[in-house]
Amino acid sequence: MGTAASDFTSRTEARPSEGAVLLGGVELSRATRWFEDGLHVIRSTEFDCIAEDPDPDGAVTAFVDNAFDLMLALSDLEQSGEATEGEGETLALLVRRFAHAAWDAERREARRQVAMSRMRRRGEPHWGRHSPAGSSLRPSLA
Amino acid sequence: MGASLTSRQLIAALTRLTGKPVRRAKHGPMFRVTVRSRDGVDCAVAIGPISDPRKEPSKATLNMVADRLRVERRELLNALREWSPGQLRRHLGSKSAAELKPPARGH
Repeated sequence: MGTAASDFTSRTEARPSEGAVLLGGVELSRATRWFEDGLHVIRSTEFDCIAEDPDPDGAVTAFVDNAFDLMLALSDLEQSGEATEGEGETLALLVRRFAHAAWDAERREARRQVAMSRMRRRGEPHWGRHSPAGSSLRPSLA
Repeated sequence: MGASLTSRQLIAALTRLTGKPVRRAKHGPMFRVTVRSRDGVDCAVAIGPISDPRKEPSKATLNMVADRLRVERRELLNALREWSPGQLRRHLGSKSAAELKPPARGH
């Protein structure tokens, strides 16, 4: 899915673009993407998650939101003993992917902090946006 | 509901057929139906989230609902309007576990 957003407007559900939704560089889900009725639509090919938005980045963000909400809903069902075996499998998949993304973001942030502190110690000038931990968890498409 | 329906009507129809949403997600309510498949496996079907109730649902949202309920897309409005909760369960229960396994595909 590493194509310019405008290229997706020629894609249909029958002939979608195939790729993945990334969260901070970590693959959250394999997905297909197309353009329909003025909306960018992204659908997981691994679990029941779909999102749409007039803005291409908005669709990616909504997909991540929906996947996160699905994980929370399945987690509640698991805790109350109501989840089916299939839902348990989907929950395990989502927890693994989101945990991986969070861990990866923390690791990158820690590396960034170490690099900046070294530069400060050496008195080297450095520039860059100060970002709180976890802010590198940006959704994107691959 | 007429020839089409609003998101509010879609939410009302899904509430009637499946019960209260299992979650009020960021982008709308999420619904869930549990059935025993025809080959004896307990399965769950998740529907949603259904976005902004002030607007008409998009074609993609309606297709998603039809796919998750395993009904022909052209039959969705009829199912939402006419089916009873028991009828929906019987319909889903007539499918195999493999057919009910996510992700739902177009019908």
